[in-house]
Amino acid sequence: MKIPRYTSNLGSAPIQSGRSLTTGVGSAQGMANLGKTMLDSITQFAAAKQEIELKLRDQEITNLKTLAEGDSLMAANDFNFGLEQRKDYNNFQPDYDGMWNKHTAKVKKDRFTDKKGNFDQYAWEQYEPFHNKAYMQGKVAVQGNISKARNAQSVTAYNTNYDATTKSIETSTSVAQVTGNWQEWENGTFAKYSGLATFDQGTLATGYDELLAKSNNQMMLLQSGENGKTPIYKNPQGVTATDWSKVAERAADPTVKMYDVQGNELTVDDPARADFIKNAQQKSAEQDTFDTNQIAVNDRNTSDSFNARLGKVYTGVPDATFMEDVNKSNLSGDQKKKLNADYLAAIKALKDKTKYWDTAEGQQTDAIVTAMVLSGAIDTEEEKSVVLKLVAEGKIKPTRGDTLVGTIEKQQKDANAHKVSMYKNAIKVVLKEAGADPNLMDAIQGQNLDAQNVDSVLASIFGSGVDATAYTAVNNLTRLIAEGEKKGISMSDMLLNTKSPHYIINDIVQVYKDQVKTDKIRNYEAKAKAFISADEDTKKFGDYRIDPVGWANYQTSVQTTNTQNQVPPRGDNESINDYLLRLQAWNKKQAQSKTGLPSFMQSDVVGGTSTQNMIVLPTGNE
Amino acid sequence: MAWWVIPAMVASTAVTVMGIQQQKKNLRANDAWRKYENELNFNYEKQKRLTEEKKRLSLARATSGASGAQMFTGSSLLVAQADIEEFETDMWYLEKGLWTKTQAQDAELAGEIANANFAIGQSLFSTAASVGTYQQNQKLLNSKGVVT
Repeated sequence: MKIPRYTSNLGSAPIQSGRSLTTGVGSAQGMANLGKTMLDSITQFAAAKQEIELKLRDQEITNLKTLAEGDSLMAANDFNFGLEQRKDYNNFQPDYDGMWNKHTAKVKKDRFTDKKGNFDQYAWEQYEPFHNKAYMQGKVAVQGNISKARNAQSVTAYNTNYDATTKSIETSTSVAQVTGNWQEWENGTFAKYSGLATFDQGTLATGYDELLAKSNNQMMLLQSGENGKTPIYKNPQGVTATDWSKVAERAADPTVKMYDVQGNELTVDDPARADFIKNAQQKSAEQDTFDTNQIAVNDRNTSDSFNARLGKVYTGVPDATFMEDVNKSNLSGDQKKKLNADYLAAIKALKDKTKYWDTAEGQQTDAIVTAMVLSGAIDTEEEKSVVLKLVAEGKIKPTRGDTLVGTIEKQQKDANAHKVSMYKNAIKVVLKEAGADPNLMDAIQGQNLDAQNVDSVLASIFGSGVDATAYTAVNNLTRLIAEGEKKGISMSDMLLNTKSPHYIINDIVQVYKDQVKTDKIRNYEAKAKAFISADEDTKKFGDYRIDPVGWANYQTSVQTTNTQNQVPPRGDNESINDYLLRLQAWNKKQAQSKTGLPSFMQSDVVGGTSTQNMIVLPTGNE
Repeated sequence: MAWWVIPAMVASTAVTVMGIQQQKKNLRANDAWRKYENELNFNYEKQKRLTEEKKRLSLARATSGASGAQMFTGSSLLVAQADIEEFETDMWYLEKGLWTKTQAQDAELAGEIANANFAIGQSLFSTAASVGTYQQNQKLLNSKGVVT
C-alpha cells in the first residue's frame, strides 16, 4: 500500500513583491523637481528684475544727462548773450569761469542730488564729458565775444578820431591846414590800424577813400578862391555864405591850377575835379533858387511891415518918413509905386468924413473877410498878407485887421495842437497794439509834444536805431495821414472817427500786431528807453528842432519811394550854415507842394511867422 | 538687492536636497525589503528541499525495509552517500545564489545612492552659480548707482 503524500506546488521563490530598487522614489523626485523649478524661477525672476532695473537706471541717467546738458548749454548761452552789451572784455573769461563754477554746483545740486542729499556720482560721471564739452563751447563763444568787444572799442576809437579829422578838414581855412590834417591821419591813425588783425580792414580802406575825397574837395574849394580863400557873399538873409556860383566858375576854369592833398595836379578833366565842378554847379543852382525865394519872403515881410504902417495912417497917425523908407527899401519899383500910391490914398482918406470901412461896401468887405478867417479859409502866411493889404488900402478898419490877424495866428496854432494830439494818440495805439512797454507810452506822453517839437522828439526816439518793424509801423501811419490829407480827408476821420471809411488805425494795427515780434519790440523799447534816459540826463528835451541829417538818414533807412521827401544830404564840404539855408529852400518847396508830410509837420502852417526857420534850424549852433 | 532672492534660492535648493534625501531613503527601504524577500525565498526553498529530502530518505528506508535488504550497507550505502552529496551540493549553490543576489543588489543600491548624491551636488552647484551671478549683477547695478 502506498500512502498519498502532499506535494508543494508553490515552485521556487514564491514571494515576489515586484518591488524594484526605485519603487516609490517618484514622490521624492517630485519634491526634488519642485526645488529645482523654484530655483529656476527665482533665478529667472532675479535676472529679469536686474535687467529692468538696469534699463530704468540707464534711462534715468539719460534723462539726467539731457536735462543737465540743456541747463549747461543755456547757462553758457545766457552768459554770452549778456556780453553783447558789455565792454569790459578783460573780465569776460574770469567771469565766465566764475559763472561756470556756480552753475556746476547748481547742476550737481539740482539734478544729481536727491532729497536726502545723496550725490549720484555714477550719473554725474556719465554726464561730465558733456558738461565739459558745453563749457568749452561756451568758452569758445566767450573768446569770440572778447574779440568782438575789443574790435568794437577799436572801431569806436577809430570812428572818434575819424570824425574829429573830418571836422578838422572841413573847417580848414588853408591848403596847408588840409594837407597837415590829412597827413596826420594817414601817417598816424591809418598806419596804426592798417594790417591790424582785430580791425576790419574793409572799414579802414573805405574810410581812407572817403577821407581822401573829403580832403581833396576841401582843397579844391580853397583853391577855387583867390589867394587860397573860399569865395563868399552875403545872401538875402544877410548871412555870409560860400559863393557857389564863383566856386563853380573858377573850378571849371582850366587856367586855375588845382592840386590834391597828395600834391598831384587836378586838371579840369580829372574825375575828382569834374565831380567837384558838377557838385558846385548844383549847389549854385540851389543857392540861386533859395536866394530868389528868400528875396520873395523878404519882400513880403517888408510889404507886410509897410502895410501895417499904412494901417496906422488910417487910424489918424501920420507917417512922415513912409515914402522915404519905401524908396530906401529893396522892394521892386512896382511895389514901391504901389505902396506910395496907397500912402497917398491913406492921407487923402484921412480927410474923408466917411471912411471906406464905414460904407456899405466896406461893411461887406469886412463881413466876407471875417467869415473867411473864422471858417479857416484864410489860414496861411500868404493869405494873412492879403488881410494886411486890405488894411493898407483902407478897405478894413486897422483895429479890425489886427483882430483878424490875431485870429488867423491863433487858429493856426489851435488847429495844429488838435492834430498833434490826435497824431500822438494814434502812435500810442499802434505801438501798444504792437506790444510795446507801457512805460514807453508814458515816456512819450511825458515829453509834452507840441506842434514845434513833435517831429523832432519822435524822430529822435525812432531815429535812434529802434526796431525796424515798429519804426516802419509808425512811419507808415505818418505816410497814410499825409496821403489822406492830400486827398482831402480830415485827420479826425482817419484817426478818431471809427465809423468813417477812412479810419486807418484798425488797418495799421491789423498789419503790424502779428508782424511785430516780441523780441523786436523789446529791443526797440530798450533803445528808446536808453535814448530817453540819456536825454533826461542832459536835459535837452524841449531844445530840439529837426535834425536834417537824422531825418535824411531816417528817410534812407525806410527806403521811401517818395523821392519828394528825400532831404538833400549835406555836401561833403558844405558848412552847416550853408546846408541849413539850402534846406530852408528845400523845405519851403515841400511845404508849398503840400506833399509827403502831414500838414502839421509842414513849415508854412506850424504856428505863426518865420516857420521855415523853426523846422530846420536847431536851437543854438551845431 | 531684493533681500529675499538669495534665501529663496537656498530654500529652493533645500527642497531639492530634501527630495533627493527622500529618494535615498526610499532606495534603502526598497533594498531592505528586497533582501528580506530574497532571504524568505531562500529559506523557503531550503526548508522545502530539506523536507523533500527527509521524505525521500523515509521512503528509501521503508522501501529497503520492505525488501528485506540490509539498510545502508554495501551498495545501498554508496547510493545513499551519493544522494546526500548531491543534495548538499544543491544546498551549497542555493546559499551562494542568495549571496550573489545580495551582492548585486548592494552594488545597485550604491549606484543609485551615488546618483542621488551627485544630484544633490549638482543642485548645490547650480544654486551657487545662480546666487553668484545674481550677486555679480547686483554689484554691477550698484556700481551704476542702482539702490534697491
